[in-house]
Amino acid sequence: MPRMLAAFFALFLLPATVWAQTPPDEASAFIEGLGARAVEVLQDQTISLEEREAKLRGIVAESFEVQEIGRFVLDKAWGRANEEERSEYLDLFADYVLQTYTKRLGGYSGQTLNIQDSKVYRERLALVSTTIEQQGAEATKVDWLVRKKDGAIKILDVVIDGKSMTLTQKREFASIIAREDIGGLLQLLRLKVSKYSAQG
Amino acid sequence: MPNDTSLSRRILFAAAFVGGLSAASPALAQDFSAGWQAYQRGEFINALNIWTPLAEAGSSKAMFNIGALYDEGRGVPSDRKKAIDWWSRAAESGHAQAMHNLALAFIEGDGVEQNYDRAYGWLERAAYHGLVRSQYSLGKMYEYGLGVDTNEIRAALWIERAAIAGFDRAQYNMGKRYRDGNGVDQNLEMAARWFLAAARQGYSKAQNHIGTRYLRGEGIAMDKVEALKWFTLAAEQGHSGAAKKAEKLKAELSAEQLAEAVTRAETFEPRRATVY
Repeated sequence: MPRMLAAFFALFLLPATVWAQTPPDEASAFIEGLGARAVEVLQDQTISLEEREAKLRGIVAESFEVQEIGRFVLDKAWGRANEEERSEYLDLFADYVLQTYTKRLGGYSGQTLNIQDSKVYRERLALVSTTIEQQGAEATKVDWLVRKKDGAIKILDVVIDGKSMTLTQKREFASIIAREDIGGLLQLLRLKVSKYSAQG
Repeated sequence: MPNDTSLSRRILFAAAFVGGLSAASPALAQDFSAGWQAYQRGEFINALNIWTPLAEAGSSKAMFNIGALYDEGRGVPSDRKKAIDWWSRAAESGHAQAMHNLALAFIEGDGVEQNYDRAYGWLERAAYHGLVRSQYSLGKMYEYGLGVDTNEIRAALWIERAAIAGFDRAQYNMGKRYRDGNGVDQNLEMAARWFLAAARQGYSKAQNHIGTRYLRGEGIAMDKVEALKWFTLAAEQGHSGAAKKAEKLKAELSAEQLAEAVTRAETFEPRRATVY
């Protein structure tokens, strides 16, 4: 699955910009640092869960290439969308992705992220293999596809137990667009980000 | 007409029932609160264990929260079917947020068969409970003709309701509607007022739009310093169009005007705003 994913990114993203190779050691240090920052925020019991997740959302926003992933996920529909639809889509997609990853990470308490491997992928990308472990539970295998661009490393995809989050989203959006075009997708995203979470 | 004995029995029963409720309610509230504290600590399984008996006893708040735990996979594997089951029970009990989330599930068709009619029904009920997100979503269903015939007037009515209640995205949308005469009579002054309300709440797109209104004097008195303030604030939130406009405008302003715009942007604090 990661190989297929990298091929997608190679096709869609590489020709658009020029950047250097992503050193695997820098990539693993970046993911390790991300894990440490997330744990530090999540363990801060002096603030509410909502505040902890707001902080975590900031970390996720800095760490992911959200806009680029958004364009990739929309695929050919990007070309058909007008400027206003593109603008609203990117806003909603960023909200949706940040909310999804934040809640997913926020749900992890008392778990540790362990780096297993880090290697060059498709020349310019790096794939960092990790496990998220918790006592008494089976470890989750999580791979992070990252890229160094303009001196900063950012995440392009997260592959959980072999399932690419970006490709999953792309497939999901493609079926909605086929049914209801971009208007339906925008409405779906609007609703997704407007969903209510647990209340006190 | 009931006889005296039957009436007495009914009164006694009612008294016992009311007494039971008043004794039970604080305890239920305390238990719910203990669940919420566990949730806040990230102890999601504990929260689930505390809320489950409350939900079984009829607490719609507990039902809703259990649904959210299953939906987000907090402490349990994510399970949309269970989430929807709990939200259905909470919605049937009158829980507005559960109605909204359930409507969303029917639109998505995730964990339940897609059904726009049911989605519309739940959204409308939640909207009448005063949920601004549901009011805005109903407006968007009419705008895009999802499960209903496209109707810009109805779209504007629902979105304006959410805007009046203070929902920034709805206010921004009303700004565009009044600007373009979409579902409402064109009114540039009203457009500027709605853009300004959403901008004051910190919504970057509205800050960019009100900056443009100030720059052109469209629906509001021309004020280039104010225009730069709003472009700057939108740009700080990553709005690239506003950043370009800010750079262009800076070249037209004096040093004093620039300093004033910077001061106004630096002292800006988002706050609740509406036009009525």
